[in-house]
Amino acid sequence: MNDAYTKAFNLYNDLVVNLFYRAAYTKFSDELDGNLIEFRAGDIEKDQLIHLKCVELEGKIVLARYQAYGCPYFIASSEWLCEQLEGSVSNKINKIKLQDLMDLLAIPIAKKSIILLLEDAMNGIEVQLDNCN
Amino acid sequence: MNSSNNNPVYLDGAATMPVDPEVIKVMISCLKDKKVFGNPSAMNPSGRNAMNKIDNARKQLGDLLGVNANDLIWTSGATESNNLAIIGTARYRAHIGRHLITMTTEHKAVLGAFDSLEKEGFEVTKLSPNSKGLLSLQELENAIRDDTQIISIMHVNNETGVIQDIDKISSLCRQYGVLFHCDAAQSVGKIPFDLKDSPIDLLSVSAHKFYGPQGIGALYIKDINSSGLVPLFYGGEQENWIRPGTLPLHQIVGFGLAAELAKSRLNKDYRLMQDLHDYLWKGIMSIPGITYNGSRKSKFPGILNVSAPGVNGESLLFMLESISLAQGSACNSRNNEPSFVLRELSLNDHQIQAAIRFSFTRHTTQKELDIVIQKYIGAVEFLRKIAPDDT
Repeated sequence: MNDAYTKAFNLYNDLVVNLFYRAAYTKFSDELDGNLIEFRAGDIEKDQLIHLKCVELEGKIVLARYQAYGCPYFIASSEWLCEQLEGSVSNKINKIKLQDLMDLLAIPIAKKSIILLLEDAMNGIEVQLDNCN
Repeated sequence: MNSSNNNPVYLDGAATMPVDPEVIKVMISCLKDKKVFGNPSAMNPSGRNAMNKIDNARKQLGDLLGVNANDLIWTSGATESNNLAIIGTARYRAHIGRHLITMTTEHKAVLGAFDSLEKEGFEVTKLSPNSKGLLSLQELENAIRDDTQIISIMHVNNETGVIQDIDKISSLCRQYGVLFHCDAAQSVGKIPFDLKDSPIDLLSVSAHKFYGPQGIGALYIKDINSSGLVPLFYGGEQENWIRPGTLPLHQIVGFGLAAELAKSRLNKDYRLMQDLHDYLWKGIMSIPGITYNGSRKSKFPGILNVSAPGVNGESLLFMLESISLAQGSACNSRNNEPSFVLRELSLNDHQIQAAIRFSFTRHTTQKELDIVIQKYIGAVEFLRKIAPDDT
């Protein structure tokens, strides 16, 4: 998948490519019971915008979905974050190490703002989750 | 959506064209032929043979442009030609006047030359185009002053394909006694035009933009013996002392043949570009919100620049990985800066960010464009689908 491009330009590693195209956490379903928690971070003018939508039930995130606008690193990071968030309980969210994502996805230093933005989004979700309980 | 295609579709002809196989052949034979490996400036038989080939190439290029071959000098490419034409003539005429005019949408090789002259104390007026990328003749006329020495306007814009009316512009320059330089890197060999009776004073040409080799270009100087131009380099008598340095025989011979081939295929190639342009545009024009960047009436059809708002340009390029194309111009595409050309066309940030330049070659096929259409529409749909609703 995208081997020719990745190898030729050495821009994105396989994990970025896989997460970007997987898009498994982008389709929201409102059929689940629970509280809807939403958080929006970033700015389209700065090329990074994420809208997180989670469903909380009995202190646990039973559904985590995102809509995102940004570069492939940003989309892949958003996908990864939702994968981590889904199934998490309130006191486990802060265990998600977004800094590790820099290494996992080989995000260039110049794009560190991606991590900072997702931290904002994650914290926003955590605060609301705490309020639900 | 994904592709493991090892033969990417090449739609970046405005950046560089593939070298014509006949050109490659003649270049290789030049390198191999023991009768012509001499220095063209040498008076020995090898050198004279080499110079004969260079003279022939000069004639081939002269025929394409409709000019006297002796009014052409070889350079390393259009960037050098632009610098030599603008800086060389400005310095030569500095004692007469120090005002120069160009456009904000010129290639960086032109803008950079003017920027350097500004540091030498010249005054440069940079005119903006209208929203279609076209220069207003009235604005140009209003900008001309008594001390204006040079006006430099490109023929075909490298990002949008927009064509400026250089006949009218050069006539206006002649009327006011101002030298006119034209960067024709994107038009020579692609658009029929004849300089024989044209008032254009200086014209920059590049071989690799029309199936010739990279690293070789030319500058046309009307009445080379009577025109004034201060060289940028010193150290030899080649090219009328204007551009010293050993002439690269194989590149020049390749350039000459590319010019001859371009002349013989000009009309056919142009019709092909028109067909490919219309086919691609028809295939993607139904994408909601898509914009056609630049004039549709006054343009070279080998370049199609479009924007589909609501998608991130970097992600769009990533998804079109099997297609060689450009976001902005190739010369500029590594710095990630938004295109200054599109900004001048009053496009908003989203349109600039999502702008893609498709540029065709004579080898592009409709079958390839079918793949491009499918991938482009698919990528735009995917990116819009995963984006927040209000983007």
